[in-house]
Amino acid sequence: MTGTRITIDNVTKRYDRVEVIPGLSAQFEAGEFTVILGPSGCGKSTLLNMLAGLEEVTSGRLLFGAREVQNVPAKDRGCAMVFQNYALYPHMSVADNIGYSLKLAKVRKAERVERIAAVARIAGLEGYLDRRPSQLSGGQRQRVAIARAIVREPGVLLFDEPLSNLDAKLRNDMRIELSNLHKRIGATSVFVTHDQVEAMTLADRILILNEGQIEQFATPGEIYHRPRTTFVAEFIGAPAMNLLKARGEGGNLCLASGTPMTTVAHEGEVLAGVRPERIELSDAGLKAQVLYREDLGSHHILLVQLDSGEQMRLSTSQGGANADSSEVFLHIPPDAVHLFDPETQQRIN
Amino acid sequence: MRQGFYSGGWTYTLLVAPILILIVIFFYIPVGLAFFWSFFLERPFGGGSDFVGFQNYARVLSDPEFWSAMRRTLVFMVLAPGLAIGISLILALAADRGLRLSSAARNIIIWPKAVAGASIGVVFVFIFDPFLGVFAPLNEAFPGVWNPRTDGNDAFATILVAQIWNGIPFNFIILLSGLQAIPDTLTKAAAMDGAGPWRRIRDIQLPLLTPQLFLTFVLEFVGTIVEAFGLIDTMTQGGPGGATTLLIYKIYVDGFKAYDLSGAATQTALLILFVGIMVLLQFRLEKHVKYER
Amino acid sequence: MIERTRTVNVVATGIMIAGILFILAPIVIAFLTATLSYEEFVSGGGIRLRVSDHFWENFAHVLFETRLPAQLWNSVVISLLVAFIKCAFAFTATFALVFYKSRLNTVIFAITIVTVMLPLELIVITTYQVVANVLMPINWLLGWTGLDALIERLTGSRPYLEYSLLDSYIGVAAPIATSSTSVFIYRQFFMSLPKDLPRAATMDGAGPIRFMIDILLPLSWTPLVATFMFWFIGGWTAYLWPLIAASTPDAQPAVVGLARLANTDPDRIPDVPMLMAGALFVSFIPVLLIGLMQRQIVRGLNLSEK
Repeated sequence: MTGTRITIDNVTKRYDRVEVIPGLSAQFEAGEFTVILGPSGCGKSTLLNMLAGLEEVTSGRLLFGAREVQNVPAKDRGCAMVFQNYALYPHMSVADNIGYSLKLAKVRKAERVERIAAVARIAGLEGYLDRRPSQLSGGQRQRVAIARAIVREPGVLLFDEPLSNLDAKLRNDMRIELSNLHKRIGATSVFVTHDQVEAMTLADRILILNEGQIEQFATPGEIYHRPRTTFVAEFIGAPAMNLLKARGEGGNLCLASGTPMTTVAHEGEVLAGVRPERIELSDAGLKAQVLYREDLGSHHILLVQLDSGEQMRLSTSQGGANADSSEVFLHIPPDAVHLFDPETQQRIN
Repeated sequence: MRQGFYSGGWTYTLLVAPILILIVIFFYIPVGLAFFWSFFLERPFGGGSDFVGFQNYARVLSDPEFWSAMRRTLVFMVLAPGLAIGISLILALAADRGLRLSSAARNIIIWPKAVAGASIGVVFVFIFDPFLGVFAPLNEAFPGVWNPRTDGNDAFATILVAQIWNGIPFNFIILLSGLQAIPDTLTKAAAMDGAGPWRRIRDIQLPLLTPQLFLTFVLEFVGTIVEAFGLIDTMTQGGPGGATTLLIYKIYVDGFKAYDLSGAATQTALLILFVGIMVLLQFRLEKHVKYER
Repeated sequence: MIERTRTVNVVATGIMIAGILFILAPIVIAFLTATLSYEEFVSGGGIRLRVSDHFWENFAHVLFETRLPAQLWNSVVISLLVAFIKCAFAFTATFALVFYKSRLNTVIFAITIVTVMLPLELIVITTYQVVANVLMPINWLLGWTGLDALIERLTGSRPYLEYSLLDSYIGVAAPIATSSTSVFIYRQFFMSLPKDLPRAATMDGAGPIRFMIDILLPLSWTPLVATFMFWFIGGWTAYLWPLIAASTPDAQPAVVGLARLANTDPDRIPDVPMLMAGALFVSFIPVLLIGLMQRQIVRGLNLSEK
């Protein structure tokens, strides 16, 4: 199996009068694993359904390879999908679930059995082929859903929040399995989720969607370290990035109250973002009161209030300096600061 | 309502067409015809009809027999559902306790649902026969105490008993299902709070059963208007002296025995309006009886 | 059990015994009476609670000297028709209402649900007119459009289409089948299914009709079987409409036949034992059905979640 390159060319989607996607263009390379990430209602599922052929494209073009597919029925697009609640056929055995699409495509019985056995081996389902979905565990059902998707050897594999129903531990295991599976099959994968951990760990590139528009489309590292907008900055990272109103004045970055935070080359009003784990505790610097302290074992998360009233979150390693004191001094390294334009919310530095 | 997924005019049309054609021909046209005939009078020797405005209504509404049939229908509509549901409720509460007899009760009490009103009417008319039935010894001791053939109240009572016998099973099953759907934890919590079995019936089971009680009343009200026909026709033929002539039976007699199409249609139209208002009232009430479980 | 409640349990058992006795009494009396001979019945002064040995005689009388066996067959056919129409038509329509997006959904749902609120018995007078000539609406159409005058000019005779369904199986069954309660039940069931099922089927290459037959139909087996049984019993026990629509004994279902049988010469003491045997005869099929399938019917109708 080889992947198909996907081109989304100025695609829009409108329901009655509501415009869900106002015009979106992107390209997913062949064999790439793209995660579409965004809050609920951002249009990510709509985009995925349009790729699948489950929803019509209002305008614009979709290309799989060189082929225009926006008017091609779902079954002829050469793509397959894994659904949120698995959507297995409850009355069919695992083998019949996997083989249903082949049966509809009039594949001969002998070949069908062979191909079902082959994907069952890949998905680790040997020995379960005669069972009903209701007799399987959550993880096994997930594997059936995946096996059903890959049995047709699709060039494009679509995932609609497939892990959201699993418990935390299983989700971790399935993430690794999915990642390995992707490498083995080589299909172009598009994975929709609202879980940033899934996005960061699985994706070659993450597409962050907000109100139907691309906020940023880049590698996980780039998204984390150089968020292009305040939306991305706040959306990625837990606890979320601190965003403060500030001003660049003569080389210093000052808070609204005038207190200097750190040095900066920029002049004028900005929104300054600092990730909690980049704030260091020191003996002198910005004075702050500790309002609340969460001990997570591996690290502490402190909610602090500056004298000028702003609140920030910071995370310290276990046993960090003056761990018990109610008053701390903060040091913010100049390279830890992300600057955003207060008007456009776009990144400046 | 959830948004559907498929689109496509032709298949959609083909899928809904059968039921629509069926109910237009055999439901909506008859309903429309009833209203049509309530404003028209059939010419005596056939060959068309004349528009008479509200004359048919004036005639029906000034007919004392219509009003007495209506009154009897109302009395029957209050008594039969009230008794059938009350008895079913007591039976369901008893059966819900999961005793040894419960499953037998659940199975047997549903049987009358499968017996036609007319069939059980044939049986009951002889059970209640003044000379051949179970009360015959009573009549030998006190002549004339019981005679549904001549006493209107006795006749009305026989219809009522038969109707209740026929009406218990469905109400019983609905109420029992409702009781069994009440989470066990609630009963336990109430018991922990110190509520005994009687108290729990009043404070927990009955309030949570409101939706099912409501449903049974909705179904029974409309049901009793029409279901009594089979009983009346086999047991009393509306007698004695019209004491068991409910509106549904009067319409039948007027329409098919006296061939008064316009009169029967007018009464039908009035009954439709009456039922329609009842149903609307019930739906207005429904908001107040739903709980989030 | 949560607490020791002997008294409550004794009372509850008592109530259940009383209920069962009330339900069984007419059936037992009917059965006991059916074992008497006519002479025993008349000389004994009516209903007596004792068993005699003439049951098979009375039963044979019902079988060979009445029309009830043939009418029982009518009942079977009519009830099957009613149940089939109610289930099949409602199934496809509800499938469309739940799984298609259409502006008409709400309207069509409302149109079908109104039939639940007005029982057929209410409108028998005019239903009779329609069934007596089901082509009447076409005559109206011809009249309104003026086509009848046109045809009269062309052929010389005014067209009047007439086709009566009275005394036919379909004529008796179709009006009974209009009550669309099934739409309610199936809709509730369909909406409880995972909403991605039709999407998954589409990805697998199944269109809507394929989905309905391959996926939805097997999944709906429980409510389908339950409603089928329930409407079968409903068709069997219907009385007023079959009484009107089937005027000849050959077309009447068994319940109507039984009532006609009971309606005899008022001056003579009727053959009550034979009638009781007849009543048992026309009731045993649906009672057996409900006795055996009780659990499936209750579960399939999903009565607790109304």
